[in-house]
Amino acid sequence: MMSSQHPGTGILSAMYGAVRALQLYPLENEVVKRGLVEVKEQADSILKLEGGLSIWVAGNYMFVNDLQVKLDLHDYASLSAFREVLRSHGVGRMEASPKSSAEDWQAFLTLIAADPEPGQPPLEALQAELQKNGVSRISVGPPSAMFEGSDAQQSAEAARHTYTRSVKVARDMMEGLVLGKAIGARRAERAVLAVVDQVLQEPATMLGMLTLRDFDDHSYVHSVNVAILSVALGDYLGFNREQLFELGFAALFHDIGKVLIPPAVLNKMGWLNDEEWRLVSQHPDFGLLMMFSVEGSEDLPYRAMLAVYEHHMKPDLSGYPRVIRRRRQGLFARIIALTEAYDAAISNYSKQFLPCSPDEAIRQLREAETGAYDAVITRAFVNMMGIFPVATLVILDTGEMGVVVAPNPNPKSLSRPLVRIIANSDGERVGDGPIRDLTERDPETNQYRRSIARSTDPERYGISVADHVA
Amino acid sequence: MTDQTSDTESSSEFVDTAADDELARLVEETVNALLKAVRSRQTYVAGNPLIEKFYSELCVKLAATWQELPDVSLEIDEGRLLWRDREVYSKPVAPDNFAFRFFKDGIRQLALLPGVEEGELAEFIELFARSRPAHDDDLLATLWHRDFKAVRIDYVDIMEDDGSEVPRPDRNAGAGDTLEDMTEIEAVLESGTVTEEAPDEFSDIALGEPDLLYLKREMEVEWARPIVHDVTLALLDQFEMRDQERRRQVVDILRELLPRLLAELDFSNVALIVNELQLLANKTGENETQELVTSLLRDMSEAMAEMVSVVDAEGLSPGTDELAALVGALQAEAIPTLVRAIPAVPNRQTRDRLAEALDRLVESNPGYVVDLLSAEDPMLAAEAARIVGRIGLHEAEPYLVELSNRPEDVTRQAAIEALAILGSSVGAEALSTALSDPGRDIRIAAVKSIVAVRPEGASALLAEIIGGSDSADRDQGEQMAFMRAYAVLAGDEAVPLLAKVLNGRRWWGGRRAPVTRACAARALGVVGSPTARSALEKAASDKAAPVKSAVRVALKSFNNDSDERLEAAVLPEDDERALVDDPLDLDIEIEDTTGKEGSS
Repeated sequence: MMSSQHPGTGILSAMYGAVRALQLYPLENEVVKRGLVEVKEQADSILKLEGGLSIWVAGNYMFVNDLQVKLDLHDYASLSAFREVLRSHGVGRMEASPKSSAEDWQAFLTLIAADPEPGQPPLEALQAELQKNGVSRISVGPPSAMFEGSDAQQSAEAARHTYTRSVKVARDMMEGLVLGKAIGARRAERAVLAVVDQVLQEPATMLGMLTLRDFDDHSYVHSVNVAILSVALGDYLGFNREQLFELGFAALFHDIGKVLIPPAVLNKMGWLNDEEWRLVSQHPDFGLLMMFSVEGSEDLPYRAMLAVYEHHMKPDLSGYPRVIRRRRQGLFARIIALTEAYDAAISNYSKQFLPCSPDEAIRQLREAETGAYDAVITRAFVNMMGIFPVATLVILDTGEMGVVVAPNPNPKSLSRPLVRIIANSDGERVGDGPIRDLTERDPETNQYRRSIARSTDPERYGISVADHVA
Repeated sequence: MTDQTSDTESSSEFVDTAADDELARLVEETVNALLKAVRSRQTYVAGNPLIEKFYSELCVKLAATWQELPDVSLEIDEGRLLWRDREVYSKPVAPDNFAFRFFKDGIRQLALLPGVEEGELAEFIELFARSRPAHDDDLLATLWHRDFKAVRIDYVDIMEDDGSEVPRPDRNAGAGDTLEDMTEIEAVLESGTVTEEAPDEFSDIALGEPDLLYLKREMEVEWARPIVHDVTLALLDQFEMRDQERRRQVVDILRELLPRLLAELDFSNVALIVNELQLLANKTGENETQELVTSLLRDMSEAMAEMVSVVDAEGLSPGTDELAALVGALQAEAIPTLVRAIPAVPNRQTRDRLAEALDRLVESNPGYVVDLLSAEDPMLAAEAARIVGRIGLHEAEPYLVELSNRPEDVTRQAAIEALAILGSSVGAEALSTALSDPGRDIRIAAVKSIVAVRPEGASALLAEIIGGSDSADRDQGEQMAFMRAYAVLAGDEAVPLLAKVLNGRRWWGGRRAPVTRACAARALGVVGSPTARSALEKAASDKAAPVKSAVRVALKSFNNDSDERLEAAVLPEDDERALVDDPLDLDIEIEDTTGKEGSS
C-alpha cells in the first residue's frame, strides 16, 4: 500500500466528500457546510502554493496539477467514485483560478452532485449551468485528446503490438525452456512492463485483446491473457505500478510448468486418465522449480514462484499441489486463479470444455462454489469486468448488435456497459458504429433506450470482436 | 516502433511560437548542467563538494527554466537531444554518449517537470550514474521501476521489434454486409423490451466497506509476506511428497539457493532447510535420500561455517536455535573453515558451539584435520596441530614431526606441544631436536614436553645443554625450565651438574651468573635428595642475593614430600611467566632478563 498521501489526494477526497454530502443533505446541513469548507481550504492551499489548480481525468488516472494521483485501495472507493462523477458529466478536466470563491465551489459541487439530465450532452449542460450560476473562475472541459487517446486506431494498434509481442516473448521463453535454455529476465521484464503500461493507459482496449484469435499458440496466448487480466485486476485493487509489474510477471509465467507436459496430454480431447491427470496436476510443481532458472535478474522472483506454485490451490489450501507445511495462499495466486479461470472459460483452447461468452464466464464465477476462489476478490473482479465484460458480443433489445467496449463509468450500472454498435436492427453490418451508453434513457418515457437482451457467440457471425473494442 | 506511454507531453502545445532561440539556449544550458551533475556523480565519491556544486547549479538552471517553460521535454535521437527539433546536445555515438545511453534501451523522450528538484532529480542522477552500459544494465527498466512523477519517459519496444507486421484491426470488417443468421435477433425483437433490472440484482457482487478493508488487509499481508520462507516451505513440501528424481531437483536448487541465503544472512531459512532435510532424510530411511542430503550439506558446510564465523565478527550472529541447526548440519568439509575461523570468532557462545562441532567432526573425520597439518597457511596448520593434540590423534604424529621442522615458529611450537600431549615415542626425537630450536618459545615448549614424554636419553641431552657454554645466553625463564626439567627427569643424578652450576667456579675463578645459579638452586630443591641439600647448604650464605634467596626457598621445600616438590616442578601449561615467577624477591625483570654470564 502506498504509505504517503499524494498532495492531490486531499483535494480530490474533499471534493468527493462534499459531493456525497450534497447528494444526501440540503445545503444548510452541517456536514455539507464542513465539506465545502474543507474543499475551499484544500483548494486554497494548492492555489497558494502552485498558483493554479487543474484536475484531469485520464483513463484510470487522475492528475492534479500535472502530477498523477494513483488510487490505492484506501482511496479507491471514494476517488474512483469521484472520477466517475466527473465522467458522468463528461468532465475530463477542471480548472480553478486563484480567485475562485467559496460560492463558486459550492455552485460547482452542487451541480456535479446531481445526476446529469438525460437527453443532452452532459458537459455542455454543466458548462451552461456554471455560466448561468455566474461561476467563471471554475471551468470544465472535455477529456484531453492527449490522455484519452483520440486516435482510437493508434491506441488499438498499440495494444495489439504489445499483445502480439508479449505472446512472442512467452512463446520464445517457453520453447526455450523445453530446449533447456534459461529464462531471460530482461525480455520478460520488458514484455511485462509494456503490458502494465498498456493496461494502465487503455484497460478496455487491452482487455479486448483477450478475444483475439490470431494465434495458434494457445498456451502462450493464455499466459498473456492472464497477465493482462491480472494486471487490470491488480490496478482495480489499487496496486502500485511496481506491484502490478510483479503480478504481471507472475501471471505471465503461471503455467510455465506445462512445457514439461507432453503436448499429447495437454491437447488430449476429452477427459484425462489418472496418470495424465497426475502429470498435469504437477505443472505448478514444475513451474516452481523452473522459475529458479530465471537469469539476468539480481533477485530471484520469489513472489512469482509462489504464485506459479499456488495458483491451483484454493484459499483453504485444498486443490493442488498438496500443502504439507501450512501457509497462506498468496494474494497473487488468488488473483491468478481467478483470471486464469475466466480466460480458460472464454477461450477455445480447452480440450475438455466448450468456450462460453464473457458474461457467462462472469455468471459462473459469481455462482462458483464457496471456497473455490477468494470471494471478495471475485466480487472485485466482477465489478471491474462488469456483468457484460469488454469484448462481449451482445444483441440489444432494439435488435442492434454490438460489442461491449467499456464497463459503464457509473459503478452502479454494472449491467449497462458502453456498447459499440456493429450491426443495425436489420442485421446490416456497419463496421465501427457509434458507442452507446446503455444507461441512456428516453426523456419522454424515462425508459432505457437500449438494454442487452442477450450475449452471443462471435464465431457464429464470423465477427472478430477485438477489431471493434478500441 | 510503438509508443508505449503517452503521459509525457511535449511542451510545444503551450507555446505558440515555433522557434525561440533564447528558450532553446536556456534548455541547452539546463541540459549541460544536467550532464555536469551526472558526470560529477560518476566521477566523485558521494559527499564530494563538487557533486553538490554541480547539482546546485542544475537546480538554478531549472528554476530559471520553469519561469519560461512548463517542462523540459527532450526528444532522444541516437546521439542527440532535441528540444522542439532544435539540437541541445550532440556528441558522436559512443557508449558514454548521454543521449545514446537512453536511446539504446528504447527511451525516445525524456521530460523533466517542475518539482523534479525536490528529491527525484538527485535520485534520477544517481540511477543514471550507477547504471553500467558495459554490464548491459537496462536504463529503461530502471527508470520504469522507479516510477518518477516528475521525470517522465516515453519508450519504444526495441527488443521485440523484429520488423514483422502486427495484424491491424479491421474496423470496417463486414460493413454493408447483412448478417446471415438473423434467428437470435428476430427472437430478441419478438420478445420485446428488456425489463429493467431490480435495484438489488447485483447486491451479491457489491463491494462494501468490509470488503474494502479485507482487500486492504490482504494487500498488506501480501507485501509483508515472508516470501523466501514460503518458497522454502514449498521446496521442502516438494522434497517430502515426491519421488527421488524430484528430491534431486530440489537439492540441485538448494545447492544454488543456500549460498544466496547465506550471503543475505538469512540464517533462519538456511537453518530451516538443513533441519528439515535431515529430518526428512532420516524419516524416509532411504539410503539414497540420506546420501542426497548429506552430499548437499557437505557442499554447503564450508560456506555455512564461513558465514557463521564471519558475520559473528560483525555482531550479526544467528539466533541460538539457528546456530544449533547450522552447526548441527555441518559436515567434515567445514573442518578447514572451522579450524581457521574459530580462534577469531569473538562471540563466546558462537565460538563454543563451533568448537564443539569441530570436535565432533574431527573425531569422526580425523583425516581432514591430519590433512590440514600440511596446510600452507601456518596458522591453519598450527591450529590443526593443537586440535590433534587436544583430541589425542596419535595417527597424526608423523605429520606433527614434519610440522615441527617447518620454518614458521608458530607451526613448530604447535607441533611440539601436540607431540608432548600425545606423548608417544614417535615424536621423541623431534622433541629432542626442538630443545635446540632457534625459537625460545619452542625450546620451552619442547622442554615442557620432554618432562611429559620422558624420552630415552632426554636427561643426558638436557645435561649437555645446561652444562654447555651457550646455556647462559638463555633467559631466566628458559634456564629455569631446562634445569627443573632436568631435575625431574634425572633425579639425584642431576645433583652433580646442578651443584656445579650453583657452586662451581670457572677456570678463571669466576662463578656463573647469579640468575643461572639461582635456577640451579631451585632445581636442586626439586630433586630434594640429601646430596641436593648438601649442595644447597654450601651456597646458603652466598653473597649474591638472588642465589641466597633461591637457596632458602629450595631448602624450605625439603619440608614438602617428594610428590609436592615434583608437582611444583611441573611446568604450567600456558604461562611461562610462572616459570620465572619471582617468589624469592630476586628483582628479576622478566622480559629483560638475559641471565648473561658474569663474574662475581
